[in-house]
Amino acid sequence: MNQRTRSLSFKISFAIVVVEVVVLVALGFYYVTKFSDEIDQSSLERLHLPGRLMNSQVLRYESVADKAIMGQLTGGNFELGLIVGADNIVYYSYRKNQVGKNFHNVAPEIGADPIWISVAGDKQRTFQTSDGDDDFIFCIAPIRAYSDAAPFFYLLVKVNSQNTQAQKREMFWLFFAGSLLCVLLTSLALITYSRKLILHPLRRLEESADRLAGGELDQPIDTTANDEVGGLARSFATMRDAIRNQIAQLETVNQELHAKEQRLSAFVNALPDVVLVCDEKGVYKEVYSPQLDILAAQPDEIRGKTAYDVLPPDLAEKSMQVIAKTIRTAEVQTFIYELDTPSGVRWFEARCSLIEKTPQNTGSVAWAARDITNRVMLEDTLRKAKEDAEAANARLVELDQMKSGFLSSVSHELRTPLTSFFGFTKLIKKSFIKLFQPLAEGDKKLETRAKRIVDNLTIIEIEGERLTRLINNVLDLNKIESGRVTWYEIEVSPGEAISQAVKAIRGQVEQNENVELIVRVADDLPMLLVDSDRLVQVLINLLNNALKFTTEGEITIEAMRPSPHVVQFSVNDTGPGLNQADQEKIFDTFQQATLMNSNLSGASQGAGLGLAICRQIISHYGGVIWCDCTEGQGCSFIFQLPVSS
Amino acid sequence: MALFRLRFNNVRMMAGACVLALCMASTAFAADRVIFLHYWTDALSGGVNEMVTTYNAKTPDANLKATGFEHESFKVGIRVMLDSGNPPDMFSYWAGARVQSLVDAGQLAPIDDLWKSANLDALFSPAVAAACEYDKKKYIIPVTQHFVAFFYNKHIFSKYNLSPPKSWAEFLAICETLKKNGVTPIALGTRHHWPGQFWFDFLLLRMTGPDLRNKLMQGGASYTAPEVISAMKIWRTLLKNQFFVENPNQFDWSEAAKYIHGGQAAMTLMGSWIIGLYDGQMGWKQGIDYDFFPFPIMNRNVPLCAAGPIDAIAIPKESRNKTKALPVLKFFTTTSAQEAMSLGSGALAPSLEVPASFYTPMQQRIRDAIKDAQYWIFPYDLATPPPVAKAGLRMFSNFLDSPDTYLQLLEEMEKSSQSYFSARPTARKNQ
Repeated sequence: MNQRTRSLSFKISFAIVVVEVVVLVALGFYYVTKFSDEIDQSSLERLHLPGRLMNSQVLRYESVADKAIMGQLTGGNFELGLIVGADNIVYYSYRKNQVGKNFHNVAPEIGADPIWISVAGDKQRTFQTSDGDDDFIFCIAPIRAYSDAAPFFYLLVKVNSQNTQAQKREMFWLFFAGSLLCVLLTSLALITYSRKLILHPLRRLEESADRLAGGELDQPIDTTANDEVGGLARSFATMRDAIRNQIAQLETVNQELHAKEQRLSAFVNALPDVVLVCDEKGVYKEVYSPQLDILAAQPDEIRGKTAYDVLPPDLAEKSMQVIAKTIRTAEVQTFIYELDTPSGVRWFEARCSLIEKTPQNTGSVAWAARDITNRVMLEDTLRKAKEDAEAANARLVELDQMKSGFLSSVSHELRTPLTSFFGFTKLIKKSFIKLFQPLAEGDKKLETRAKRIVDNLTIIEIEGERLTRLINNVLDLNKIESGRVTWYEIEVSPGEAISQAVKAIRGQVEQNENVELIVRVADDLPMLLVDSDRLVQVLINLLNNALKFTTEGEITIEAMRPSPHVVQFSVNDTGPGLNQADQEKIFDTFQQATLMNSNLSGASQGAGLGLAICRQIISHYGGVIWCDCTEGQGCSFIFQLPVSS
Repeated sequence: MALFRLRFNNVRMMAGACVLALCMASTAFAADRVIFLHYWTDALSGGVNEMVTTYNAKTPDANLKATGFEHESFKVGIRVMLDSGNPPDMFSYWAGARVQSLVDAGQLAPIDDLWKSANLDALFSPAVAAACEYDKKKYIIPVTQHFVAFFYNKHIFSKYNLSPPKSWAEFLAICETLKKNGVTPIALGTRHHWPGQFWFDFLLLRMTGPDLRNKLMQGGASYTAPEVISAMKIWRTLLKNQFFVENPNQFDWSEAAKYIHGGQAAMTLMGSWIIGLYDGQMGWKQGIDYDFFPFPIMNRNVPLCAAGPIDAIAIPKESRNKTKALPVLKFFTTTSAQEAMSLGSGALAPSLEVPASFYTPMQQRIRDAIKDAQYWIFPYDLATPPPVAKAGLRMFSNFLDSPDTYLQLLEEMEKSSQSYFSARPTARKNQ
């Protein structure tokens, strides 16, 4: 930490020094250049001053010989001065012996070039020379009598530029020393200031961070500074709080994870499955098993080895294909295989699930193999049982068919003698009433016996009729169930069907004066595409049931159209009704309602096939039939048939 | 070396071509202007600028431009301009040997046509007209005629009850009186050398007359002649008697004049241009604050000579605008121009048409003094050829620094004179 702090301090200090050096070097270079130029300019200005003064006739020509005046004018570096005429004759000079001489002869003595006068022409010119030790500047200024006139004199002034160079050097070193001092002082101030305001708070912050790293989350952080460091400290404090919260949450999550881990461990331990983790090369990373004897080898022997090392070659190859497909598709793959284990040959159902994968289709999978040896054995048993059951069922169907055939045969065979029996019974009764009963008149005893005979014959007749109906119903139902019924589909008027049914049972209705039959048929009912006889059969059956259970009150038969596609028939009575249990099974074969009224016991007895036949008929024509009854409040049997399109 | 010369010559040729091109350009530019270069500046500047303004106002397309040039600079500068072939269109100059030297060098354009057409002989006195003629040709137009005399502080003279001296003895007595009273009798500023010449001129003229002096000026007499030595001795005596301000070579003439004005000195031997300084810049009034008296008579047997320069205007032979310069010269001969120049400089107007009433009383007395004199003499530096004059003026300055070396100085001067004149036999001529 201290190393880093020192490093940051060093970097800041280094940056400050570098920036200051760069800035001051740039400023120094700028100002040194500027001031050098100004010194040069000032030197030139002073060098040109005598010429300007002479041109304005303020300075006399002979002043060139006055070193004091010229020195003052040119800045103290004055070496010599000449006034040379346009005719190249020296008219004034600091050396009297040069006066009157040609400048070409004088020039070498003073280190000048004779052509300078010609080169200068009518312009002020400067020339720089050096004698090896000193540098000199010659200024040649034309002197005119009036503006635009050709120069008649040339003032030649020679100054030593060493002083100027010395001034520049002095100025440079002054700048250098000043800049160095400035760099040192300002750097010191900035570094001290930055250490105080940045580094020290940062160090405190770092110490706080160290303590935080050491787990001291409750240690205080100084956030009083109202600057970026203070902001950083506040952010740090906020981060600490967040870390504290995160740690608390992590602890909670850890606890949950630990609990989950324990649960998962328990699950894994509780699992009957063998769980393996392996990579795309089939190398086993982890091995879990509830039993060691169902593994191909011990877990330690398996870990780090490949499927090829552990499993038979074929199984290893198939396992690798499953693993590769799992990694490629990221979908769970199932695989059932047989494995020779220390506990014998066992069957396993493996589910291979992807744990992780890379774009290069490498990764790892979880291989959960469940020992299904028992299940396989059970399935074998079940399969055998199923085969047995299917054989038994086929036998049962055969027997059922034999039963149906038997019933049909029996019913058919019974009906013939029964018809004879029934006909002869009627004939006997008719004959007895006509021929023998009158013979007993007058003889009470005989009359009573005759009457008893008639009653018995009546009973035989009724039971014969009932037996006939029963046999017919059995035959009907058998024909329907066996599919031997021919179903006709002709257009039938609902009202006409009701009318036929009512006509058929009118006689029975009239026998009971306490029961009133009400017929309600809606207008404009559509035609139905059904077998008219079967529809009437259903209606008669329902009306018979109603008459059977209604001792007084009314029976209503209705036809209506509750929706455009349906025609609804209903037969309502005011009989004892049905309980809920009877309603649920009333349409089953050989089912009859529980008798509520002992007075109806005789009337209600039947084979229990009527409503079953009704349901078969209605169902065949695409309709539905149901009953809506309330025990003790009558009963409604309702069926709906689709309107023919 | 050959290569260097070749390059050197090429550079010279190029430089020459550049100069030529510049000259042609400046010629084209200046062709319309008439540049009048003169030396009337500062205290002596009065008159010329007004005349130029008047001329430009009167003359359409005149475009006369006057440029004043400091007196001492002018002396050297105009020669260089003339020598280098870049002279102004017209310039002021001093009649006498200086003009003669230019004529000898062929640098002046004759103006005989103008002289005749304007009948200038009727306008100027024969003496003045003669001062304009060189080698029998007229070259200059006179504009001012100065008079060299003693100008003195009247208040000091009044204070010590002194009167302008007429004899040399009276002059010496006045000097003694002034000296005794702590007033330097004579102010002299010879930083520019020329003011010392008046003392040499007048001591020689008053002692020996004009003949010897003229010979001396033309190389016909020796600087070591007894008369010359005597003159220098008298001058040395005056210096020894401390009648002069100390270190006169440190002052120029105007600074010396200020000694008079300030009362530190009483009188100075100077040309009448001092009037322009006193009247113009110092606010003195003629006859009240200052006055003049001619150089006292030292020998009544010699003719009385008056001395002073005649300022003139000349046209250089290389003038680029002679056509427009000639009318300007004629303009400066007009009475108004002559009077203006007189007013500004304090000099007398050479023109005879300027009436006496034009002048101030003091100038009228100067005019009378000139008339009283039998000879008009140009000052030393205008009487002898310039190279000799230059040497002579320096000799005077050296003498003022070391009066006792006068013999040695005269001998050296004689050598210089002889050197000049022996090389130029034709220069030995009478003016």
